[in-house]
Amino acid sequence: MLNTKKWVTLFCLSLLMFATACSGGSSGPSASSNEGEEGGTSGNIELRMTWWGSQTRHDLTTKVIKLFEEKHPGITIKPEYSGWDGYFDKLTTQVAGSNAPDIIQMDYAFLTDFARRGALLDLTPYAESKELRTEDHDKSMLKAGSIDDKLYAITLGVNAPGVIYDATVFQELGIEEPQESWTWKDFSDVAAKIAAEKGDGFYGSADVSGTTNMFEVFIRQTGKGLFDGGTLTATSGELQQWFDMWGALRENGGATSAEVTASTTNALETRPISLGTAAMDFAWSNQLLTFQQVNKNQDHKLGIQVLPHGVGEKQIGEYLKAGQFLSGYAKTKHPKEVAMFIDFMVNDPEATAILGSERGVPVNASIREKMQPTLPEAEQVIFQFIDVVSKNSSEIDPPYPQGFSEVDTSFKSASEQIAFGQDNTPDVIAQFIEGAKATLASSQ
Amino acid sequence: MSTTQVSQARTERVTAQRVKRRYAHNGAALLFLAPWLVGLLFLTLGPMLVSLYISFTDYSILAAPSWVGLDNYTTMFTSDKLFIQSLKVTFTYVAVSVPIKLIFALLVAMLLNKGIRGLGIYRTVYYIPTLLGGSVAIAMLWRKMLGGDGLLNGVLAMIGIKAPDWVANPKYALYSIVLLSVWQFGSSMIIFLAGLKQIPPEYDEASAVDGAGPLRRFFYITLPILSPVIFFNLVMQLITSFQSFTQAFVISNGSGGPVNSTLMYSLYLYKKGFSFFQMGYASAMAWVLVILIGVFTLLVFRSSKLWVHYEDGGKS
Repeated sequence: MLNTKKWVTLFCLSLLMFATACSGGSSGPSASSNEGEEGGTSGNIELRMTWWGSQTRHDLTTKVIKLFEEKHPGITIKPEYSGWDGYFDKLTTQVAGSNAPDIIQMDYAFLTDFARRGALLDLTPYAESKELRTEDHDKSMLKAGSIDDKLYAITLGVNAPGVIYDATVFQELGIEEPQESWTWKDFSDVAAKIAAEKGDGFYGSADVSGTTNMFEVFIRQTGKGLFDGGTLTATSGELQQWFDMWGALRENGGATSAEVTASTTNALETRPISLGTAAMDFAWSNQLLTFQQVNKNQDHKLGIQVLPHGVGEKQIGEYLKAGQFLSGYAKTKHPKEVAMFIDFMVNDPEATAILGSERGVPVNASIREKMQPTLPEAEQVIFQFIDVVSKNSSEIDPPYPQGFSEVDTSFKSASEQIAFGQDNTPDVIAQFIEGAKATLASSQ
Repeated sequence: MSTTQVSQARTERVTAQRVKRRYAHNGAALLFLAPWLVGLLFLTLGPMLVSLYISFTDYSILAAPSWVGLDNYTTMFTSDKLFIQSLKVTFTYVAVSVPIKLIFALLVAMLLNKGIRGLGIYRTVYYIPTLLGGSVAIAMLWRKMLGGDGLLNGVLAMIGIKAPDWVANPKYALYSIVLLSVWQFGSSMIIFLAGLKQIPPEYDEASAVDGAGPLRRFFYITLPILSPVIFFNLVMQLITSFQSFTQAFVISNGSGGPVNSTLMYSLYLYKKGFSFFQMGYASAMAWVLVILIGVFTLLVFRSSKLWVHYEDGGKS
């Protein structure tokens, strides 16, 4: 009898602890909110803004916010920034709890999901009333920010995927810097050569075999998109080719070892090229700036080149992408002010001058023209790179299908499984394809 | 006749007063309990019921939930390989970390019980990790310490050992989290210490006079007397270990990697809910965890008859 009683007590206790454990996970975002609620009535409006990025971006964005607040004394903006890891987990939670920030930095991969589910503010009326000026914006980028003919997101910068390389290391070893025409074979040869010359502990390139974005370019070179109509199009043969290439590179030091790769995160400070242990990495063009700033060897000069071409490719895999977007939260109490701030961030000459091209090349053509001559060298490189890509690229594929984030995770896991030699490659690939197809089918 | 009536009336009056007074008491009690009761209803029971409902739906957080019956539960056990993997990881973690932690806590408690000088300081020092241990900062620090070129490997390199990256190698990653958990042995230790202090020294002295060695005294005197305390610690640790989340989340950057080797149950649950937008499935997983913890707690309670000894024969 007593035993049961005790048991019941403990069971309740365990429930209680579980409940607290669960709420603990989501209490972070809600704790930092709710302060701007009363703002509307007193004439002093407080907006919350969230974004992800590096320290450089945090500094620049906070500066722009200060400038906005000076010009619009009635409005204050509370920044909530973080790194990429966990950003969307938090945002989803906030949306579910109806207390998401008013201004949201959005990503192409999540845009459709959030817009279709009614989480984002329809900016069309503000664009029509010119409170949010879009006439100088590239048409393709307005299209990229529109879902079902409604404007949900304004492009903050145009980017393209590329290979960042340490030009100083190339020079030191007497290896020619990558050319625009280089192929995956050239890349592998160069990576292996660098590893051989530099010796133990230095790698040709970071292993990005688990990065879906980069594999996508590889697949695009075969003339199709990575996804089509909500299903995965990559064949096991193509996956095998991709993983075999990286497998060979890991063996000769051309790519980072499984352990080193696993300890690398998305934070640019932790990438091997930043730590001075690799000569190449795969990244987005706008990241070059931060890569340069966080590099351990400040005297090293970084360059950027297009992703290697496929051998006998059917189309160029490289594409231009709206790097990040700015969106409003559907339930914001001050939609007009949100539109005002978005306008300020992309169209105001002073604000755009502060932001530079840290988020990518600005979307406003007249701003871009004005800016170009005044840019520091590193940013010139990015502008030139975007120029190169815009001449030789194919159109970006439609946004990723629902269920993508789960596929993305299992792709990374599959690449780790192969790298650590836990299973043979064909088995891992078969499992990945089966899993991805099931996930995508059940998410539609 | 009349006297009985009078006394009856008096009794009734007295009873009524008593009842009134008691309710007045209850009112105050309820008033003081109110914050807790409101919390229980709205922050614990309410969300739990909602989560039970959601566990039978397909709920993407951003859109309204749609009823799918037992689908979430069947998928879990039939086709979700990562669910099985997360169970494996969690069971391994619980099976390895709980015993080691308890043994370690008991050993340290016994050392401290030897009547050393500055006991208070030691007690505090050993307890600090427990206070800090759940925090993200400590997990980050741990990650740095056990990383490829972290402190530990630096020391090992000095004596010529080339060690792996403990947190980035699927063979060791989980055990680095186990180590972190063992390091937080403080709360169990304090409870053990209190238990040890309760053991009358005469028992030990008497058996020593009878010629029992230290090992024999430990197994035949200390352990049996301490068994209720061990039992309590075991249950508490079991429950918290099943739910551990923060350490794995931080050490693997939220991925449960490398190769899902640190994909703890709670971490996978979190990923399903917040990264993959499958809140219905995550809720179903939460209820499975509740049942799992319940079953294991029950098993320990059942087994306790065999090994837990109360001095008064269990009639507490």
